[in-house]
Amino acid sequence: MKDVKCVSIVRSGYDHVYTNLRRAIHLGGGLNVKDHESVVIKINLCDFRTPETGAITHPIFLEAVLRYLRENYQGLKIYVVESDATVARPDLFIRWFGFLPILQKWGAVWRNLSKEKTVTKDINGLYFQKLEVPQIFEDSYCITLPKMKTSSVTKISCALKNQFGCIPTRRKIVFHPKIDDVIVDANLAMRPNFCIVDGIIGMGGSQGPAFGVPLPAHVIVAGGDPVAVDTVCARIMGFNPFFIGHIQKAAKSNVGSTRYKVLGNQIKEVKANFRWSILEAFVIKVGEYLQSRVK
Amino acid sequence: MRVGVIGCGAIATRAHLPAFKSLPNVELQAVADVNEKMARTAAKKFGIPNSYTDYKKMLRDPSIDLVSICTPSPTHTEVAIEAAKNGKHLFIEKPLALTVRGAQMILNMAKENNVKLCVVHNYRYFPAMKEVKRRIDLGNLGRIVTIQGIAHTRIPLQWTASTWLYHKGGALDDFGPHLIDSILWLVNSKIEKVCAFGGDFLGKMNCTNYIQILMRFENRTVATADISWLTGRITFALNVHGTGGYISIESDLKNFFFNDPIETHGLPTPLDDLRNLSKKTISLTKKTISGKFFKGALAFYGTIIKEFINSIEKGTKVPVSGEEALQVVAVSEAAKLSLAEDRSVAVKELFVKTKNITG
Repeated sequence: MKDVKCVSIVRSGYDHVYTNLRRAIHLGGGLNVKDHESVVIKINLCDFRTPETGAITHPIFLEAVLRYLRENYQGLKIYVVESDATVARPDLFIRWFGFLPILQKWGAVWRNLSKEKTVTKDINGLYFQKLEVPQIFEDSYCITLPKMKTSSVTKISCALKNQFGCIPTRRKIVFHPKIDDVIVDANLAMRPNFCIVDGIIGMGGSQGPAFGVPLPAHVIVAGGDPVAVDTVCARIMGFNPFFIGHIQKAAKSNVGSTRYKVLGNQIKEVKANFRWSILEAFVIKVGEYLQSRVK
Repeated sequence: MRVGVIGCGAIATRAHLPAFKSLPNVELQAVADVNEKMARTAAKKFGIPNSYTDYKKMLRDPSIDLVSICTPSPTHTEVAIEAAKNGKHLFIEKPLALTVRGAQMILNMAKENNVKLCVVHNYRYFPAMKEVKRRIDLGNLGRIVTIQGIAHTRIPLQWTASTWLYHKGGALDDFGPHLIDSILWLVNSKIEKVCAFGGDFLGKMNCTNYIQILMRFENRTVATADISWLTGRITFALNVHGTGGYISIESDLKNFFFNDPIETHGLPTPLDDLRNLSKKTISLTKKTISGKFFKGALAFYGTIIKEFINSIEKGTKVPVSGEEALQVVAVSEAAKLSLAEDRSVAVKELFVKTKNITG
């Protein structure tokens, strides 16, 4: 998979998100939903943080995606999914942060991946030989809707990292020491067919992906290849993708390609300072390590 | 002292059980939890001989002298009354109860059955907090005019997978009792009137996720308590303003490590800033080296239990009495009423005659 992949970049606010999202999807290669009866949309509800913080999927953004699907594909079953995590209870968040009325309006169904039936997949991955995968991903077209965020653990958290959240295990924190490998495995098992990154309000600073700085980057990034999309996002955020472990490992494992062709706006036009400090991230890591040792 | 613990969730297994286990004159006799697996796991982990799924059965064991109540807050009244009826001394996780009526019922039952009662308001035990109290009592600040308190924390999803915590009180009944108790303890006067603003800022949680409480005391001190689950911050801060000076303490880190109090009189000079900065640096270095930096409020459970057991055995004063905890409940309930009816609430409105309340 070393060929060049199309990745679209479109400037946007939440005001005219639908028009811009449609353009981003078309430039990014378009959705190829026709052969599927159902679509799974993986949103990001990583912590008890409100949408304007940039930590979780914005309901307005999800609504635009649902509208696009409903207007372009008839009779499609749409599932919106997320799994429980160490500090996340998406069943509650979906209610508290205003997603339910939107799902009802566009006839989408909420599913908690931690409560779904699973099937065992042989992936021969970097961390897992076999991985329990929610059955809902079988035969469904998968759209991942990540936020454009920094992460104290993986530097950036975009399309590839969003799929880490598809692993149904609640205590995913146990995977953190080998997170790059586990991210790759999650993408081998549940590779998204299309990625639409919401960087309209992203998250910067060194305390992401939940407690960083809300960062209005005013951009949507879309494409069919999660590795190419993340490579472009890394560039926009001011990182060198060569030094981001999970991007490099995913490319080596043939999840996708780091070679991309940008359509729409160019990277230099939308480049934002995501206020990442390697020193601060290091101090946070040391602090967390010391605390865990003392406890 | 033989002890039984009711409720084997996070607060029991992280704080109560390890603290009881660490004390030489305590024998952990039994645990109870409606979830059999949790009861058994806790019993196994802490080497406790008996585990029950029905706490009432546990309470019938005559060898148990003291019970620790770690069940969800809405159940405290029922469980505590039953335990008092069985003649057990009561060590209750905060808040004592969710209503003044419930708290009074517990207090009355404890009195009738001649058992002692202590509530876990452990923030008083932070050295920085004790130091503030000492300086106020010394008169360093003159007369206390106002206290501004901030208690912001993250929603405790790590503590419980269940939804019991998201009852109407929300953050007010979760982290709020620590701040309210600290303020009441420092002011040392009866609360008179409460007015609150806030509620459910998300509009869909159906519980209080942010509240600002304004309190007036009988000695005319005014205090504010700013309590939140929403800001993503973890901080507990108190600014005490007196006619003669000002003290502030603040914790800014995960485990509520408190900086040493900063005391200021008159206008702070650059020398004060320098002195405070060097004090903070020295204190931070010392606490990091000694490991104290990483010990949060859970570290004080042992101390409060020890003092409570002493008070039972020697008949001395209970460290945090039921009457003090009742005042905290009264402030919380008055704040809820103030929110609901959009008015200030005189706390005495909430106190019904206790004579007829026996549970």
